[in-house]
Amino acid sequence: MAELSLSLTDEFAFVAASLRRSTVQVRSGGDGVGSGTIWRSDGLIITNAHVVRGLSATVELWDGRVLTGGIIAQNPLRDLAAIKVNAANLPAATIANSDNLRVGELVLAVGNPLGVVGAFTTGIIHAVGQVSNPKSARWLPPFQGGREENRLGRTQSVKFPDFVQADIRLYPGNSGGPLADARGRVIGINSMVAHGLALAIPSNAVESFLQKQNAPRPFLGVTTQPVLVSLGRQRILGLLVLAVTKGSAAFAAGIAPFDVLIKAGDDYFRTPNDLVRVLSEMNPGNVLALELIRKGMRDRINIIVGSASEAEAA
Amino acid sequence: MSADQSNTIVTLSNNLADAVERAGGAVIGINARHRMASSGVHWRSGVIVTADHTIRREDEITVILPDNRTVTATLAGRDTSTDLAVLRLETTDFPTATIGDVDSLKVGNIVLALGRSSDRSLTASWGVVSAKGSAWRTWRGGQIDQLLLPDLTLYPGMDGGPLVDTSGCVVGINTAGLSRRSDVTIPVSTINRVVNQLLEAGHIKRGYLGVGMQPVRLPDVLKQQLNLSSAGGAIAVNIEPNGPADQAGMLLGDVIVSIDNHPINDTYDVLAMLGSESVGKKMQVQVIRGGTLVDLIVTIGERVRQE
Repeated sequence: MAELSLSLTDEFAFVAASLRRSTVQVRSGGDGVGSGTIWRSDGLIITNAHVVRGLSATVELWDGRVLTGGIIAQNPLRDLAAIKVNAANLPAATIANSDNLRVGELVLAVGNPLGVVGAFTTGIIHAVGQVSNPKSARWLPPFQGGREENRLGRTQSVKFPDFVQADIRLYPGNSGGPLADARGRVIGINSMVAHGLALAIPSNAVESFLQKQNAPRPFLGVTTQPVLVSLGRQRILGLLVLAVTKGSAAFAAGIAPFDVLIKAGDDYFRTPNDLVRVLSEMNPGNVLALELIRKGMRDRINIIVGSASEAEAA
Repeated sequence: MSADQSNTIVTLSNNLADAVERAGGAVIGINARHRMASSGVHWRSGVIVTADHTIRREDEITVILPDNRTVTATLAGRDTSTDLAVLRLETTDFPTATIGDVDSLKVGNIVLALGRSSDRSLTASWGVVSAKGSAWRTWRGGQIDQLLLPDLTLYPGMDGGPLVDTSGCVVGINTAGLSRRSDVTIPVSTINRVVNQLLEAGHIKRGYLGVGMQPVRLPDVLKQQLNLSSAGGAIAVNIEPNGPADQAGMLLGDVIVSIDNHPINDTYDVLAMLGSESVGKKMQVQVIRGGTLVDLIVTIGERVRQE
């Protein structure tokens, strides 16, 4: 019994040490200290989009080296940013599949909360599936040193409801750091808290964020504005088409200005971001079913998603 | 990082997830209040136990079963004093909880709190047994057989859900409604006792004396003269006409100093003697009247339930 508990505590120390080597301090835009996770040994570091500002970030490694890197990719909706530093053989974290988590399994976090470097916390997976109360989540801001500034960020409406939810204690400064499984393999990037519950971006979402950077972006070619439309007795959110890019996917499918889009895929729009979100989960060449209102009549249009190399999304 | 270097952690992690999976089949979600759902346990076939303070309406209660079905439930009974409520279900084709042994649970043992959120998913938090202790009385006068205090976070909606040990056995029901300072667990024995009474009568019987009381301190001289063990008592400031005390001959100003040989220091001690088992019993109530001890035999009545 004594031996067992000794090895358990030693094992925790071992996993903590290994995870700490893969966790960095991130400073960007004078906003205080956040955390980052070394994703690949060639200098790719993942953090939250809300931790970085501008085009570059200063990264301090566990061994004390301070490097400056460029922010090579960002997705504020998914709250992810990728920093590239000029270094090789960095102690990258082992990344695990975040799709097969079980409620109750152990999770470990490392970050720089409240100015403490490399703080280690333990907890368990609280729930799998979508966040049930997405309106009450708050950002974990970078740690700022003072007191007033270190309150949690304002309540955010979560744009993507899929998060790893964990019963683990996180504080300002933990944002961008790793959430790992019992083997020390990273399953998420810590990002928000909701009622004390930690919300981390799943590692699989990080991987697809990275893949999307190289692949052509899905593109429809419409400029829209949110409007409220009456549908029977209900009032729902619609996206009024203001302009259609010539030669784009939307143009080819016959979408015209003054059409009001109300549904993409299976769901009616609930926030103005929903079209962008649905689109970002698709690839060029996929077929997107759109529902719209044209001259007071409902209509369905299947549209072959195009790609944008020159223009912005949606 | 190779797998064998964290064998014990991985084993612990798998054990915890297994325990959640095993116990989770009997954890349900309950919609009986505005906005926030609560949780409950399938205690016996067709019988759901939850925390009473999360039941805000007595009709149109629906529950979410582990297999995602939503079915209606009826309120079979509730006891605010122990913060327990019992619901009845017609659907019984899902597992009942495996009940664990609270006595073998030690301070420091790992425990899990479970719940089911309004979007149907099973939720968990973990911690350790923080304290165990003797029987205690809630602020509403209910008797809890033993103190069981977990050190963990009950997230919103987990109220009324079970506390389980690492083998997935239920050792109690968690509630934030019995203490302002911390969440407590109502142990299995208390739940079984209250559930039996609620299923039988729909409420918990309380003894009735028919006396309005205030605590008083007795002068030392009197205490020595009468050879009393304690220096306090409960003075009768109101006697309900034709109530049990009135019929036994209790007078205004009598100071109750013992009931069935249990010393009475405070009005609280009187209430403690009036549990459900006291109803209909003849009790020996010793009072000080005019400087001397007088014994009265009171037949305890049943307190009428106030809606």
